[in-house]
Amino acid sequence: MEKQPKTNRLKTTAIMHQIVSDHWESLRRAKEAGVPTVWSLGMMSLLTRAIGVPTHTYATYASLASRDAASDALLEEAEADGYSPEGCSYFRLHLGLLSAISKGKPVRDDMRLPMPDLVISTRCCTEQPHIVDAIHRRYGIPAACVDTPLFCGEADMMERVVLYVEQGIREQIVPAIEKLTGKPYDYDKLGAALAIIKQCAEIRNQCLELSRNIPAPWSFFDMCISSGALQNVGGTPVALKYMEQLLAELKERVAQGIGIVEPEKYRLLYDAAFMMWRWFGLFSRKLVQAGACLVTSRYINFLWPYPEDIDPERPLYSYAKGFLRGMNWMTAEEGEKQIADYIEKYSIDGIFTLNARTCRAAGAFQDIMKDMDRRFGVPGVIIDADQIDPKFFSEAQLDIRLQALLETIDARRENKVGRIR
Amino acid sequence: MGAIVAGIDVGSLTTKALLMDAAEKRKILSFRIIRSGGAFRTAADGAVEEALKLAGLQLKDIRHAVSTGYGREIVGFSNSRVTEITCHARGAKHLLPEAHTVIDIGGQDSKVIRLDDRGGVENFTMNDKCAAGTGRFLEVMASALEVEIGKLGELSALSKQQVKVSSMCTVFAESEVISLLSKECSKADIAAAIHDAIARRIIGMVSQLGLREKVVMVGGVAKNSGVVRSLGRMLGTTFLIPEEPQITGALGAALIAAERCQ
Repeated sequence: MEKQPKTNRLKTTAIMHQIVSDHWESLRRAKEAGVPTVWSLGMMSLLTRAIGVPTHTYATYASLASRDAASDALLEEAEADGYSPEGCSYFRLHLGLLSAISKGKPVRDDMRLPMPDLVISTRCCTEQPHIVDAIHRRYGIPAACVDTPLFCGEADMMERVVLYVEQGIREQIVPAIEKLTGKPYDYDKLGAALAIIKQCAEIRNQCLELSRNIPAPWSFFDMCISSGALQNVGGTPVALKYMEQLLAELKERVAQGIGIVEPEKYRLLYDAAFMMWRWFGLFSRKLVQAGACLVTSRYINFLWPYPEDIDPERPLYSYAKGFLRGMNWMTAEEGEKQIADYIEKYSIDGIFTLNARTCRAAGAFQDIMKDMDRRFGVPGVIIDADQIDPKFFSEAQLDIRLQALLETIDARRENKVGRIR
Repeated sequence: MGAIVAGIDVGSLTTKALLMDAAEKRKILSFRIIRSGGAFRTAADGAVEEALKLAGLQLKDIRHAVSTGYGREIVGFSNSRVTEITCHARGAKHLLPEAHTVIDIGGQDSKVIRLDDRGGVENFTMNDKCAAGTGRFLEVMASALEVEIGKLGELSALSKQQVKVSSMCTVFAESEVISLLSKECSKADIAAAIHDAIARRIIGMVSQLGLREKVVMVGGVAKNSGVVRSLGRMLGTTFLIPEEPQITGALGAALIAAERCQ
């Protein structure tokens, strides 16, 4: 009788739940103590966290709020406030939260955040600056948004763009932070935080490399959980301790041949700019039941993919380069090269990608999947869903596409066509 | 007679059950198509019961059953579950061995499947979550036109003037149909426009995989001559259509059951 696949959970990732809860609680406590708080709507959170200002990060808030489907009420609140249900669900979630707070409506304790005293943001997509502007207009919250151009096939523009973004942060974001704190920005503290980030990113990359082992010692889901160490508490000793513990546990697993999914029948690549946060557990369980493991993803390399770029002596420059070399700003050519590299390196059997219905920025890489099939014989499937909005999700669709992808891999294995592992 | 096997395709609109003699020739003993009616388990039980009755058999005679379709997980007596993508591929290749592409326009979704030489799935693509380009789309449009869905195909053959339904969204397309009616466009012209709208949707999916002939059309919508005509014209091909296109998935499931019980 065939062995039923199961998950061997990591001990270290269980710690992250408390670390993240403590982080959100620190924002609530700060406000009660009269300390200002900041919301970061994209990549800017380290700038304020490094100097001791409690700071929110928007993707991790989405993951927190969509746990137990609690985010649904806030999305509805934003829609009731007049925002389009087809607008970015991350933004609607935050607009819904602000609307609920301002109207004194009840918000679940573990999701409640105080009104921010400053919103800082990058321009990750065309919608983002408008949302930041909406928050400023509607609630009178100071806001600063820095332009972060996309490369569009011109990778040799990197140096000029990094300098442009560095200047933008210095001239737009930093003055807003100085106004909030009433003192000059402390670049030394940012440099010190970046030094820790550098160590964490190096360890993270070592951890990712370990997924080359068959079976993989951890999965994309563990990677998402662990990303809190570079986001919620990035640049702190807590993060470094977590990453060291994670690496030790993964090395131990590899030495013992323990996989996160056992038996590991399929090794899949998740290539999307988002996780389906609201269905995180459901998605994970379905994969495990099928003996499938998402062994890696470009998404997880989103922040600080190249730790060697980080120079604590040039903090703003390093900061800008850190995220501009990540997935969101990568050219399609670079993206394709990286996926091809992952297919070989991680022994990928199939690709899973998300067409996030309310995201205006994340659809450009789906054509690459076809190229991967042509070049490597690796099939892929697109899930039409969303990061958190249940209006754009169908479990039956997820089931059939996942199962059909695995059946396609089986058929190719049986017929010895395409990439056979 | 060899072992008796069953394929049950529990679709969103109809449930199909097929019984087969698993001996070498894979003879179809009987099949039944009934409305799913929102009760998948009951529909599966009912379709199998009727198919058994037609073949003069009993449930205990079935050696292995494979369920497929949206309701595949809740068929209590099935031994294994396989997606309709694999089942349609297997069924279509069995019926029409020259097939290399399968277009399945079902009630809830549409699929284009590229077949390998043995009837395995080489690749596939599906419509997104929206109902445009599916049987459900046709049902809504037939209702807006107040025409029986089964007569939509022959009605569209009477079209004299080209009109266009451009929306991909079922709700918007319905309002376009109502708007065309208010402009006194003929129902035949509107029916043809509806079929063209579905065809455009399917062509986008075919293009993703690349057209490889011969092309088989299966699923309930393959019975609609209007959609077949529009799609054939736009793709520049002639389709192979099984005698009963709706049972292709159940047939594929039964073929897989036959392999698994050996």
